[in-house]
Amino acid sequence: MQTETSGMAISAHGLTRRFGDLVAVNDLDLEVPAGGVIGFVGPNGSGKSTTIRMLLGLIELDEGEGSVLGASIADPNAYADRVGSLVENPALVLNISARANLESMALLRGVPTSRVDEVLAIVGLDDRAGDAVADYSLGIKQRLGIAIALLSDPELLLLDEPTNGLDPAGIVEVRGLIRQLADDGRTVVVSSHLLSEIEAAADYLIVIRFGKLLFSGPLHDLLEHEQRFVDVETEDRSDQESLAERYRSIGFEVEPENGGLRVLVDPDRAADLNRAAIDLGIVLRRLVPRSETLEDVFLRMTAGSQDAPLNRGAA
Amino acid sequence: MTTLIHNPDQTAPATVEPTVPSEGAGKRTLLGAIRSEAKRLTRKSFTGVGLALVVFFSLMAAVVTFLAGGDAGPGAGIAVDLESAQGIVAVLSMAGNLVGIVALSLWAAAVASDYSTGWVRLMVAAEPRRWRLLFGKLVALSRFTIVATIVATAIAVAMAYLLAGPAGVSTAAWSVGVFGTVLSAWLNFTLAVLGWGVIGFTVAVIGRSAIVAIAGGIGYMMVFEGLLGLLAEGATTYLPGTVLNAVAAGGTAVMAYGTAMLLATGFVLAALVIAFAVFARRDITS
Repeated sequence: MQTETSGMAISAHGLTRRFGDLVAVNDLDLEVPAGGVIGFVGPNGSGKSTTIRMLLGLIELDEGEGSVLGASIADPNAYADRVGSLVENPALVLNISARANLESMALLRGVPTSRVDEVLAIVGLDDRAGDAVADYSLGIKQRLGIAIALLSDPELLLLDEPTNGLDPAGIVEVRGLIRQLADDGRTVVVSSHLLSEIEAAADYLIVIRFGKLLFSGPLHDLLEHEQRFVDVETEDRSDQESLAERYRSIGFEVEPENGGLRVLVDPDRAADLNRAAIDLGIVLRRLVPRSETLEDVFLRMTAGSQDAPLNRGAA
Repeated sequence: MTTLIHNPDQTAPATVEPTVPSEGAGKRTLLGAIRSEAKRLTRKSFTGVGLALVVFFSLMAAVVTFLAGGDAGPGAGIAVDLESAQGIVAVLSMAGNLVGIVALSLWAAAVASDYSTGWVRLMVAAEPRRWRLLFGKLVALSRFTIVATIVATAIAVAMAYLLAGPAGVSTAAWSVGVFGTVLSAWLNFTLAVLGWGVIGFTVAVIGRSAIVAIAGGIGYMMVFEGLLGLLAEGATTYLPGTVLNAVAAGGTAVMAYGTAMLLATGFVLAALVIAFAVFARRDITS
């Protein structure tokens, strides 16, 4: 696969889509850099799937404009050959073989059927290509779905929840495959609720909520905003309050957490926390420096929006 | 809650250079769309079941035509004189509705399964020119249907010869212009069955459900037109079921062949326009 793309794989502005009074995507600006793995996350109902479907031409835009791989988003036919997708569950004809499914799609896409063997090898299904899809596990079906997405050797892959329903081994496998595809020079956009997977695989992150952009940038930029803290627990719980008062008196912010205290301070100050406890004659059961995970940062950003209803026509 | 703004360094839109098409990228063609559909239709659950049903109903129609006339004798209930030159293809008159139902059901199932499996998402993402997808499906289904009607006609002719003797029907006139008779009957039968297929196709495109299309089609033909015909003589003359029956029969006492073909063509074209318009504009949310 060759590409001379520089800059953005997707550049869109003001994307809006309503379903009656429901505003699923609300004036969304989207900039997806070419190359690498791009995590596309948001709470349930935030508009991720709707956005992906608009980019693929499955759903019309109410408003907005943009480009995908340099071609206008209003003309998906112009870039359909260069984009592969897996939207929700793999769409497969169950009572024919994997090979027949792939051959059917290859015929539609106008790619040589020799490409079928190539993509089967990429996803590791060459020895099961003749089996009926109905006999496949969910993990195998997901891999076959990715194989279908790869048929046209696309520069851009849009994968909506590719690890949905997979066991941990399957998730690791698909994650590795996604990384490999990106390392081959493709742009792989992965929409997922599994933030641990995004954190493990993504180079760039786009966060949306209520159909609007919340964050867009390299993953490490987001994690720079992560809070760091030290979790403290006293051996005798009755000492907890006096210890908290002491920490506050020396300028640390303290909040309760899981039966102990969370001191919002750089973990480098853990020794000071320990010293303060010793000065009071308090024995600590636990003193753990921690930092937020991507999931923690995400939940903090979108606090109150988990499974929140879609924005009903709000300005 | 802290709201983070998007990274300002990433907001400036950049021009994407045109890419070199990779070796894997191909050229989408209408023929590819047809072959893609045909590939999926060749599954046993579709072609095997479809052909089995056609064979079954053809055999049943033959038995009913020649052996089930009761006191009225063979051929009771159909307008064809079994001992005339048309007698050799008389079974097709009886089989027309039955095979038409099979076609309606199969065409509906072929369309609806794209929605139930989600394959429609892949199709439309791969080929955004949606009319090509429907056209490919139409051609592939028509191809299969033509094979099915050839099978039905072969069975009808074979069974006619087999059953004529036990039914006491003379076949002396059957050899007169037999080729033309059979070819003409097959053609009319095929056109009618294709018409039923298009109806199933259209209802399935609109409803996205095989059950709705099949139940609706059968309910319309058997119940609605059937009852209406009983309640008011001549009320169904210009309705699709009666028109397609007239096409299958090469014309009837109620409707000349030319009129039937004109009306049937109108119904089919209207159905296809509706199907293409609905599919072209519909959001793919399945």
